[in-house]
Amino acid sequence: MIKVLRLDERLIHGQVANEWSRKLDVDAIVVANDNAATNDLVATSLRMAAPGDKKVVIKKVDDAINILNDPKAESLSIFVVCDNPADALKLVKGVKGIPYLNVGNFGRIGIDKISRKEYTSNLYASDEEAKIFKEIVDTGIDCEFRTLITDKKVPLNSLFK
Amino acid sequence: MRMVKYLLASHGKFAEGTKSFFDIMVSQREDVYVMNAFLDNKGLDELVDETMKKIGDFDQLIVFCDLYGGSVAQKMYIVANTDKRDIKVIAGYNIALVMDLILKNDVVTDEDIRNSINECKNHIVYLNDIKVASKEDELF
Repeated sequence: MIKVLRLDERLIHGQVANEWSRKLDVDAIVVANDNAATNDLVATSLRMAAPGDKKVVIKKVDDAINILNDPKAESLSIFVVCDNPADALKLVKGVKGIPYLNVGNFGRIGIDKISRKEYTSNLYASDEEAKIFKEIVDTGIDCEFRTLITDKKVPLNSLFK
Repeated sequence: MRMVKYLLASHGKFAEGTKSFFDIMVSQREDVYVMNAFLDNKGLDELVDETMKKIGDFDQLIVFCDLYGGSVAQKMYIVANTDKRDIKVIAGYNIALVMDLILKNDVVTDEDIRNSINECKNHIVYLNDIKVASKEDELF
C-alpha cells in the first residue's frame, strides 16, 4: 500500500528520512528516478540517508511503476519519492492507488540556469514545469505542497491554476 | 500528557544554530529553548538563572550541552543536581541525538537517554570509508 508519493528534488534526505518516513511509519522507501537507479554513487549516497529500519529500493521510473503495481506491494507500507514534476506525472498516471501527491521541495537545483518563478517557499517552477504541475492537478489526484509534515498543507491547485 | 521541555546550551551560537537546523529539518517548536553563553559580558550564572526562569514549569527538562567538561555543561550539571525537578543533562550532543530525543515528544527514562546516546554516537561517520556500492534493490 502506498502511503504517499512525494516530489522532492533531494529525494531521500533529512526531512524525508527523519520526519516523513518515521511519522508515516513506512516499511520501504521507493525512489523512482532514472539517474539514481543507474548511478551507483548517487544510489549509495541516498541509501546513506535512509533510517536503518527502512528498506530502500531505487528504480528507474518505469520499473518503479511496475513494482508498485504488483499486488505484492499491497502488503507493504510504501513511501514513494521522485525528484521532478514530469516523473511525478508519469507515476500519478501509471501507478494504481497513490492516495495523494506531496510536493516538498522543488526548483532550487539549477535555478541559476533555468528561469523559475517562486510559487511558495521551497517551490520554484519554470513555465514548462508549471504546466506539468497543472497537468498533475488536472488528473484529479489529491495534491498538496507541504515541506515538513507539521507545515500547513497548501493545495497544489491553489498554486497552479 | 506530561510537559517536557528542551534546552540547547552552548558557548556562542552553536545552540542557536542547532535550533535553526531543527526548525528547517523538523518543525518550529515552542518547547525548545536556547542558551548562547558568553556572547556578551553577562556571567554564566546570571544567564542560567534567566534561562531557567524563561523555561518556567516542566515535568521534565532535557538539557543538551555543547562540550563535556565545558563550563556550560559544568554549570548545568550543578543545576540538575540542585534543582529538585526532573532535569536530564547531556554533554557533547550531536544533531542526531537532539532529533532522536526531541522527536520522542514525551518524558524519557535514564535508560532511554543512554540508549539514544549509544545509538547516535554511531552517527559520527567517516564517509570516505563508505565504498560506492552497486546493489540490486528488490521490493519483494
